[in-house]
Amino acid sequence: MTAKRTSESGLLLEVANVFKSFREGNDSPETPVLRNVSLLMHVAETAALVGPSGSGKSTLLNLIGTLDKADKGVIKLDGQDLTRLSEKELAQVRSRDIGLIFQLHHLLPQCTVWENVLVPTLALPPGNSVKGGAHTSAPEQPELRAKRLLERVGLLNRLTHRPGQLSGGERQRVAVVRALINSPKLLLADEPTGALDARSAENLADLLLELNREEKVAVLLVTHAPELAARMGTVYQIQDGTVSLQ
Amino acid sequence: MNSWRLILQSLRYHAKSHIGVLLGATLATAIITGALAVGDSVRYSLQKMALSRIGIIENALYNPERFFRTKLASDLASELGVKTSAIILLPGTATAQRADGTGGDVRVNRVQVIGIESDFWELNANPMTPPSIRGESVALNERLAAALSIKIGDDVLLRVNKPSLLSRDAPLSTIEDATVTLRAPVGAILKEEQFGRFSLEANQTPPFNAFIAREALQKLIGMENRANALLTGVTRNAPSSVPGTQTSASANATSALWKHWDFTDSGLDVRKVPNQNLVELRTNRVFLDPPLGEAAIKAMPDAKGTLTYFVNELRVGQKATPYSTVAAMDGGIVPSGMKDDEILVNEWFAQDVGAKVGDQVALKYWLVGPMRKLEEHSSTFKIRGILPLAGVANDPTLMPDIPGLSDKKNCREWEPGVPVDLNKLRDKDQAYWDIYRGTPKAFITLRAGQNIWKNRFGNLTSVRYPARGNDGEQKVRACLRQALNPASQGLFFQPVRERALTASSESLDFGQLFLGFSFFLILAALLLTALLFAFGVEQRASEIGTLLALGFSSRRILAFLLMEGALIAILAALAGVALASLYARMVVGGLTSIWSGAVSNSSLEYHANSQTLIYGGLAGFLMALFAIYLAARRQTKASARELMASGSESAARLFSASRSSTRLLPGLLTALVTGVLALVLGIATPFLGVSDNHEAESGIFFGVGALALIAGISICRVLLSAGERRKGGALTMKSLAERNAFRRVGRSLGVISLLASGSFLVIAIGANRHDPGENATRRSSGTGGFALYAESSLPVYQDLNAPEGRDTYALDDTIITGAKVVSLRVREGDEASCLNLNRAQTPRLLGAPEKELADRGAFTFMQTQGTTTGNPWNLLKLQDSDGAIPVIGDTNAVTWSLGKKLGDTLDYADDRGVLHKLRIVGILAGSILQGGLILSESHFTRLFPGDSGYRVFLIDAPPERAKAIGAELTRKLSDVGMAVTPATDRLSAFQTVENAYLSIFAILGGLGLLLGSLGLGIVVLRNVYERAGELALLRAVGFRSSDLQTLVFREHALLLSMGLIVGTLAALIAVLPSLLSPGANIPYLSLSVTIGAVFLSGFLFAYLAARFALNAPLLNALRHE
Repeated sequence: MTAKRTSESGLLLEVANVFKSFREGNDSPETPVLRNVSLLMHVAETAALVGPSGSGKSTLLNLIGTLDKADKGVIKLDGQDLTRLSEKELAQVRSRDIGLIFQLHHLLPQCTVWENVLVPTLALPPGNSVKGGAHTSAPEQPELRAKRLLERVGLLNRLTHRPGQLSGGERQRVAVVRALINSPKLLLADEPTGALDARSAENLADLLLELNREEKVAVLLVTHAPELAARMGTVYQIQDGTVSLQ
Repeated sequence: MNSWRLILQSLRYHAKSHIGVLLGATLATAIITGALAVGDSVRYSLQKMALSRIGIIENALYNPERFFRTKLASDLASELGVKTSAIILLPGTATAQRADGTGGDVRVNRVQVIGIESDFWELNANPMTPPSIRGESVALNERLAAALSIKIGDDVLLRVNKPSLLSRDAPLSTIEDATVTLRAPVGAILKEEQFGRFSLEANQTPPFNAFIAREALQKLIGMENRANALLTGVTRNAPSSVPGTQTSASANATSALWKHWDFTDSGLDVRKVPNQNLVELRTNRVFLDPPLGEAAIKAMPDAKGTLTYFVNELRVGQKATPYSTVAAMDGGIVPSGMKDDEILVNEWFAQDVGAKVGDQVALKYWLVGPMRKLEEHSSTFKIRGILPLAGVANDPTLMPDIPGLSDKKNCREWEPGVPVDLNKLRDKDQAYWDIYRGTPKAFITLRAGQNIWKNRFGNLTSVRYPARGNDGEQKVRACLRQALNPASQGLFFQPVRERALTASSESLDFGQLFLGFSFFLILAALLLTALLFAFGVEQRASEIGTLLALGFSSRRILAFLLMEGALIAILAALAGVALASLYARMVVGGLTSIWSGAVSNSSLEYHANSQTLIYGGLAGFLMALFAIYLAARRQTKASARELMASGSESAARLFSASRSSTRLLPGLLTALVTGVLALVLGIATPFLGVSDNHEAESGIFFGVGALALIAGISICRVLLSAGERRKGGALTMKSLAERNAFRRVGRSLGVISLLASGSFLVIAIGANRHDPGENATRRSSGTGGFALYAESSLPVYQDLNAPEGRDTYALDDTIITGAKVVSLRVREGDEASCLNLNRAQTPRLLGAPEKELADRGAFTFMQTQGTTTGNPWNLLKLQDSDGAIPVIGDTNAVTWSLGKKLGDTLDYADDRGVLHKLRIVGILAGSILQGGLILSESHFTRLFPGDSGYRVFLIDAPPERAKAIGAELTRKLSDVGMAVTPATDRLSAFQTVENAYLSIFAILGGLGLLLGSLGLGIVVLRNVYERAGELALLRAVGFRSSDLQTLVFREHALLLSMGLIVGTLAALIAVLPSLLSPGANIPYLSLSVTIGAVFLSGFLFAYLAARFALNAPLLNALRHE
């Protein structure tokens, strides 16, 4: 389904009054992590989530990325209430509308660079095709898009290499291309530069911002690095389970 | 990029971790397919033995008592266009001098003495040069030659039953010269492929065969140009049919036989009655068989039957005429209005005793009861008239040809089969004999005669027909040829080929048997497969989480994993099928060596059908795939977030069922309930009255043991759960090990349950042995309380309990006193016992005096059908409304050999080829009567009137003199090939087979347990992997590598010990009855070795796994945590 759902105001993501707690074991008490969290993001906006360790940044990112479920509250992506969707529908949302970048890249070790970036195309629901951009319905051949994006990130000469043969920065760039292959509307990155050296981290940050402009994809990233956070359009501070604009 | 590429890439990348999965699945497939191939091998071997036994013979006509012209063979060969051979087949014994030079003899009983001509060897499937048997030399088969330790050129003494025209059980038959002997040199020793295995019975054990020139045997037994068996070779289009019935080929053969059959083939004669316009049908067997007599009467109108009997005396008042014949007639001399209590006498008799019309004549005559027990009876008639001794009243042809009587010129030379006091004969009697021969001196109605003289051999001695016209005799002959079916005289063909092939194809399914025996091995292999696959997938948790995060549904990921697994399973199936041949060959090798008791020492050869290999491979593939599915399914249930965040124990916790396994109450309740039940049942068992029924007692104790097993496992669960909750206490390496073992209650309990269940089954089944000597003197035991069991090769006609019988065999009264013999009749057939792997088609039948068994309360019945007063043996007296004849069988004979159950019927042809239904009305617990079905003697003699004498004997004897009594019977009845064994020995022989099966199960089950202990090693590896960070921390704080190895080893050794101890203890309870029986022959050594091996291998695998896993650089785990 490729319905253009962006509201007239360009609102892409709406997180409203979300609560989330965790329990370690059957006999352990519940630990609240997110308390009444709300935030908004617009199309092609960039935002950073900052806060001390254990404050719930990654938890919030996982809820938005449909990798976990909120205890209470509403999360809407492009007008669609994610909290009401089934597991199957959430998987479809992840494949079609959300791109995920992890600190540890999580590339498939058995696949080459080329194969890794194309893996998400296999998860697209039937009837959906790879688009030429986040807000266009014009289809693009997956291989062409992959080639274009890999060229964009400077990895066209590493197509047949496996993750083990790449540097940390190169792996993370592959992860970025993989996250963008299905032209998602929202790119979520959890500590994308956490495992990189300073130079690679800066390069990655540049790349994310460039891709944000070129692909018109919204970027929400979690980071400990203040300099990276400062480069995002909006910075949210998360502390004691609540979110506030910095 | 497509899904297949992803799957193949994953398979290639993770190939190393899949090797174990491949091996496990290969092993499972190899065992499954191999077991099925064992079944193929046994069936193939049995079929080969069957074909070796019958060559190209398709049908066989065999009647031990009926001798027909040998010319019938060539007549049928021309008619049917097949090879034929007429042979003589007689039971006998063979004796030779001992090869050790001690001067004694060695005797072999139950020998088949076969009189053959050259055409016989043409029926062998293998082309062969006929052996050199000239004159009176004999050829023995290998088995007989080996048993006699004899070689070519040595002499052998053969003793066979001399056929009698008249059954030796019949009145007027003689038992003098019942056997004849022949001493002859051995001219050849025949291998199996030289038709040495020839037999018409579907038994896997080769017979003892002695082949002799037919002509020589005919001369020996006085049956020139005669044979009693006719064999026909295969026809081109031989359709299959229901066993026990005639195929169309055998029906064709029987029809052809009728076409070429002559009266003389059935001992019949059709001739003109001198001086009367009559044609008479008579027999050289004295009495016309009842079906033959009925058919003869119906054949033509005005047919009149006659029954002429030899009476001891005819008395009127104080005067009597000895030894005369009296004719009972329908018409002729006897007027139609004559009453059944009236008699006509001839004038000679009337003069002799001074009789007149109206006087009472008393007839005294012998009737023969069972065991030739002669009883003198008397009947009285009123003289209606006195006939002149002329015309139709002077008819010596009315007397049948009585052996020992009719052919004697002088009546003082009479030797009929009944006692005759020749001193009573007077000169006038001789004078009568000289002139009138056997002319009857009196005449009664046929009805009256049949009433007093009828017996199972017949109630007519002749049938007479009016001879109309010049060709009257020819017309009668022609009519009788049409009307008299040779089948009704026991001359009919049986489809021996079809039966042989059915017997082998329906034999005990060794494929299924070995699948059962290999159950643990297969289960262990599949468990390994699943464990290793799960282990491999757990290590890919982050990969699975990534795919979930990328939008793949968990179902799709499961499908990817299954496809990987399927590819592994396909490879494993192919490899497994290739290895299956090796496994099957090993098993077949075992069955022909250490486990030969399971197949009665038969030689087997490996053979597998391609279909079996395909099915086995498919089954292995599907089972491996299922195991992989179960393992993979659990791995895809966690969320992407958890999977990607996992790395060690948290991952495993994600995949394990986090149930409320730590709750104590369920375990306590289960332990209490099952423990109490076990205790109650165990205490109550002696009072349930099953001490004489080993099967029932074993079943109850097995149940008690199973309950004890569940109680034991539940107690372990309680201990684990309680241990998990325990806080405080001194912290030592030992307590740390225990704490760790108790952490994962579910997984630990799984290990304990598997080992406990496995060891329980292996021991409980492997040690469940029968003691044949247990309670052997009790009537309810498998021996029936009899001390001795005996079989003779040739019939015994007399009652061995009576003085006359004992005198006949010169049995020493001082030795034999106290012995009581129950004699049973035998109809030879297929051995229906665990000693014969073939499915018995025509089982051996025993005709028993049911009253004797009932009075003794002999044997124990497991099941009975129908109601009767007193003992269930009395069920044999009844006959169902549908005409089915009741039979009783041993449980092993009925269930395994015949494949039947209580209430089932089987068709059985009697002496005349008429099919009767035998219905199983009682099943005996394991007994010495295994081998055939038992029916009442009265039903037996009705179905098989020609089977005379007794051949199986159950002997009561005082225990202290049983051996001496057995030796006396063996020695004095050696001429009839008597073999006497202690009843417990016979029972042991049957139990050898059962015990061999139990040994096989114990060994294969033990191998399965060994493999299961390898699984323990994998569990150790997995546990260490999951706890890498924790163990790394312990290293970081100063624990040495060896300390950690000891810690891990101790945790798992505790689980191993708990499992094996619980299983072993429960098993010991289950087999308590066997343990307490001194003669139970429990394989303590092999069971101890099995369990010991499992203990040691479990410890070894746990130790090696701990060492291997902890040698890896664990500190890396700290960095990645």
